[in-house]
Formats: sequence, C-alpha cells, structure tokens
Amino acid sequence: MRLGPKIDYWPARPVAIDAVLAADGPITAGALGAPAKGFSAVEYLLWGRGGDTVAALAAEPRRCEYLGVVIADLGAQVRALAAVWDPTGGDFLGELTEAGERPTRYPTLQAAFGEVVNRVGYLIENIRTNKLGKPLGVVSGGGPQPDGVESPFSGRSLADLRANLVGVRRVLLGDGAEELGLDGYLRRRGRYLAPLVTARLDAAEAALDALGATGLTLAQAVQTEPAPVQALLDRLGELQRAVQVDVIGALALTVGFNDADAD
Amino acid sequence: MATDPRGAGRVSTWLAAPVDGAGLGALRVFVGLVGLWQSVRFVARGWVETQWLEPSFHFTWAGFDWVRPLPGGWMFALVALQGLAALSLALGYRSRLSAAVFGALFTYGDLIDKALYLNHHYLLSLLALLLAVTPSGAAFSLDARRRGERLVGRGVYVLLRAQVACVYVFAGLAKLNADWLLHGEPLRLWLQVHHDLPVVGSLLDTQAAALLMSWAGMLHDLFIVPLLLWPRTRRVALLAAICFHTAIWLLFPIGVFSLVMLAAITICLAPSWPRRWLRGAAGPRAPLPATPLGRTVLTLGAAWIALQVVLPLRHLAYPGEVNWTEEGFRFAWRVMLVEKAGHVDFTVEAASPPARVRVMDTPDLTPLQRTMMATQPDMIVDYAHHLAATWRERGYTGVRVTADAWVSLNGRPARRLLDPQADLAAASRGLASNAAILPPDANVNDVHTSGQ
Repeated sequence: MRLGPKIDYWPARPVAIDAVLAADGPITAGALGAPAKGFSAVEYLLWGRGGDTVAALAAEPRRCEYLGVVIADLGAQVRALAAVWDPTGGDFLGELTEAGERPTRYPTLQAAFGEVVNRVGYLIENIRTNKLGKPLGVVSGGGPQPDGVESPFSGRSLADLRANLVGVRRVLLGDGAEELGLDGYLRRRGRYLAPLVTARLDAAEAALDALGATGLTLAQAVQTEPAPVQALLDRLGELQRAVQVDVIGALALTVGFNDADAD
Repeated sequence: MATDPRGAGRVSTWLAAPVDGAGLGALRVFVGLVGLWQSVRFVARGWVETQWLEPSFHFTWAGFDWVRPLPGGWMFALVALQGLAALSLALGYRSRLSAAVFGALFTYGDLIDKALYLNHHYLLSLLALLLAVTPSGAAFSLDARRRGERLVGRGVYVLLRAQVACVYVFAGLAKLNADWLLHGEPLRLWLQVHHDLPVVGSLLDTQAAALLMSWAGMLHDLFIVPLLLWPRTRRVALLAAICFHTAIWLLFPIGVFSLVMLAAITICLAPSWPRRWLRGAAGPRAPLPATPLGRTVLTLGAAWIALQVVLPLRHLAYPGEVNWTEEGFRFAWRVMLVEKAGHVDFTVEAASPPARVRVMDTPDLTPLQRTMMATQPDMIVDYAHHLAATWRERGYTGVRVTADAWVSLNGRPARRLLDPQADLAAASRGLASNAAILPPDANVNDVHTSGQ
C-alpha cells in the first residue's frame, strides 16, 4: 500500500507545492503527487513564507484551500494507516504477534520479532544517513546541504529527531513498565543488554541536547557549527551498532537467506 | 621410495570388485528429487528475482567474476532446465548427462553471488558431479530398464562414502571448540527461540539442553559414518541420523539441508539396501568380471579425496580463529557453527579531486547481501573494491576505502572486525590472508553487557 510517501514525503519540494499554488484549477488530493501533499506540504503551506502565517493564509485563499485539501487527505491516509494495524481492519499487529500461530507474512514469531528489531536499526540508519549525513554533506561529499533537513520551514528538525529517539527507546527499553519493551524479553532470555542500550541512547540524546543548546536550527548548524552535528551522527552510529550487532546477535535475529534456508 | 606394484594391484582389484548398484541408484534418485524440489522452491519463493535478478551488485567469486545472472526470463528458463535435469536424474534417463547438466546449472546459480553460499548447496553440486562421473544409472533407472541393470565397481561406493565422510567428520571436528562444547553456543541462542513451545519450550530454553545437543551433534557428526558402515551398528546409526536430522529440520531454519544429508548418508548403507524395500527388484545375476581400475582412474579418485581433505583444513594456513576471520570457512563443512550479527560503515576518500564521504547505507544491496557482508571480511573487501571502482569511474584518483566494521560472534558483545585505517580498496581479493582483520579481543564495546 506504500502509505509512507503519501503521509511523510521529504525533503519537501517547494517547487511542486508552489506550482499548485500558481495554477488556477480546482485542487484535488488525487491529482497531487506525493511531493505536493502530506506533512511536508502542510508544513510548507503553514511556515514556508515565514512571518505571520495566519495573515498570509487569510491573504491567500488558494493557499488556504490547498491546506484544507492536504490536511483532509493527510487525515484519510493516517486513518488508512491505523486501519492497516487495527485488529478489526488489516490487522498487521496480528501479523506480527500471531506469526507462527496462523498464516501470516512472517512464518515464525522469531521472524516477526526480527523484523521489528531490524526496523529499529534501519530507522537509526535512516536518521544518520538522510536526516543528518546528507544535510551535513558527509554522505554526498559536496558540502553542507541545509535544504535537505527534515521539517526545515517549521524549524522542527531536532524535535523530529528527538521523537525518533523516543520511539527507539520505547521499543528497546519499554515505557517504564517492567516487562514491556525489548529489554524485558532480553532479560528473560538471560541476555542483559539494557546497560549498553541505555548508555548508547543516553549518549545520543545528550548529543542531541548539546546540539539544541547551540540555539541553532539543524539547517543552520550544518553550515555554521557542524561539530555537534557530527558528534550526534557518531553517537547514533554507536547506537545503531548496539542494536544491529549486540541486540540482534544476542537474539539470533539475523536475516537469513530467506525464512527457511541456512546452514 | 619404491612402490609395491602388487599392493597397488590388489587395491585396484578390490576397488573394481563388482557390487550391487542399487544403493548408488537410490542416491541418484534422492539427489534428483531434492534438486527438483529446490528448483521449484527457487521459483515459488521468488528467489530467482530477489537473489539473482533484482540485485544491481553481486558478490562474485574471485576468478569467477564473469559468472553473471542471465537477463530476465532466461534465468527462469535456466531454473526450469535445472529442474528438468534433476527430474531426469531422479528417473535415471541418461543419468550421467542429467547429473552433469543439473550440477552445472545448480553450481552456476550458486557462483553468481557469495551471499548465496550454503554448505548443502555445495554438497549437492559435489554429489551431482560425482554422479556424473560414476555409473549412476546402473540401477533403478530408465537407463537400466533399457540396457539392463549392471553391477558397479566397489570403488564408486568408496569414493562417494569418502565424500560423505568428509562432510560429517570435518563438521564434527569443527565442533571441537570451547563455544560449542563448553558454552553450548550457538545452539543456546537458537534453542532460546523456541522458549514458547508448549511442553518442550522450557526445556529447550536451558543451558543443559544446549550443551546436551551440542555434544550429541558433535558425536553424531564424528561417528555417524563409521557407525553406518559397520553392519552391526548400522540400524541404530540410521535411526539416530534420521532422528538427528529431523530434529534439526524442526528446530532450525535450514531448508533442504536435512533432506540433502539424509539422501547422502544412504550411500553408507549396504549397496543392496533398496532391494529390501522393493520386492521383485532383484539385481543382475551375472556379475561382470572384475577388471582392475586403471592408474588414471585411481589417481583421479585419490586426488579428489585428497582435495576434499585439504579444503576443510586450509584454514590452518591462515592466522587467527577461523570462526572469526572466516578465512577458509567456506567449502569446509563448518556447518551451524556460528551465529553472527554485524554492521559496517565505509569511508571513501579520494586524493584528486579531494573528497571524503561516509557510506552509511547500502541501497544497492539486498537485506541478505547486507547481512552476509557485514560479518564476512572478504565480502567487505569486495564491496570496498566496488565502491572504489565506482569512484574511479567518476573520475576520482587515489581512492581509498576504509571500513568501520563490528561483529558479534555467538552472542558476545560487538567487537571490531577490521583495522579502521586499512585501505580495503588495496586489499587482495585472492587467497592471501587479509592483514586488516583484527583479533576478536582487539576492540570490545566498553559497556558491561552480561550478568544482571
């Protein structure tokens, strides 16, 4: 179903959004490509011009209409995403939790579990590569690319990163509850990795705090003060290693030839 | 030193002594059926696309870089032909030719990418080759129906049994290490996966179960072939082997591994064993006269066995622990020995024009390729060469590639695998040892990870 790009396509493409604003015809969600809708479009329509957003919207009825269409579409896409997970809908949750008990896309609970943990690793890799590495210029080698940060118009880039890390922490360590989160499972298996994972997460969050303490947005920091961005990148690398090497190794969650062949 | 021609002659005559070809025929049928099944699985599970056609980069074997997947539908046609050859082998229609075709196509598929290497695939290729050079259609075949069943030289069984013995004995020898025998790893890790099984789950999730199965596996591998060959222990050994491989098949994700091994061990039974199960399938009554084997045949057979002994031992020529370095790991029957997880970042630097980038994701690799590469130094070197070549094509010179590679072996904390300063673009892809590989205690994660 590929809902991801419809909901959160980024980096934003102002050119695509401006083209819709400059056109005359009616605005319909179905006619909009992924770069012209979703969170990025909402963000650009609200913050893209800077200054007094509400006044700008009041002065530009088409901008206001566009925003209404995009928000309505975004709501529909998010509801579709929720329905995919909902046990009374697509029940993807059941695909994960009941793997091995009934036919699902994962032949065993271990395979489903491996998917979740590997996705945590990929999320951290995505943060490193796309949210930090590309804007910093260390991935492309062509110098900083401040336009490549996530949420550049609202200046929420660092808040987005923090939200990502909150998600990672909850999956790995639970939400304060004793037996929830990966750590509870690890502990019951005699693999006590909480000190390592906690240390790596704490270090990453401390690096994020240090970056935030500069008072700069991420787009500004990659140009004028790259050292704390690089430090965050390095701490996230250590966190990714803890997940993809230590945790996955301790739980034998390595991806195999497929679900049924190895020796 | 002078050789004893009479002794050599006696060996030659003994090897040429005619014996029932039924056991050989049964092996041929089993190998053909497993080959057919695996061919069907490749198509049904979408592996033709995901493993061969979709990857834009393949980890080719040094010396076999020219082996590439055929475009589009031709790979499907090739697998179809492979399946037909396997079926033809099972039926015994032009048995040796079928074995050769199946073996060549199956080996071709595995040669495309190192990430696809599996020990039981390698064994299937070897068995197919041996069936192509032995009178594998002597019994239970359409060939035999056309020409009449024939006896075969005892040497055929000796050759195939030696091959199977190499598999098991070296698999057993490889298990003589502290991880396997003292810590029950990696079985402990793998058995924990089944902790939620009713009744047996809590038993499997114990150190005792891991150690018990580790020792049982080691003893099974070391002694199963002699116990199968000795008539007095054959029945018990066969029962043990069936139980062992069935348990492995039920507990671990090993695909057709158990089927391949159960097919292979049948060659260690009495040559006429299938006739007990097939009433009326009497063998040929008039044995052929025993013509001593020629020197060439003897030499080739001995060379083959010698090669099968040397290959699993070649890791001794490399420094370091083979389970960590993986130098000499493949083609050595080091089966189910390690559980590894790894992660690697690359850094590419160019002298002119000056440039430096970090490669933190590898979108041109499949999940399997990523996983395999992250723990295997030679594949990391392969990818470093690929990165360097890509940069040189873009006009950069003085390209260096380094890797920040970490691996967990059998549940241990991550350790650094390679010297992060070593230029892997300059590392050899040949048989020489990779000097960039660090010992496993060189660099360990600095946070306490065991105990509570």
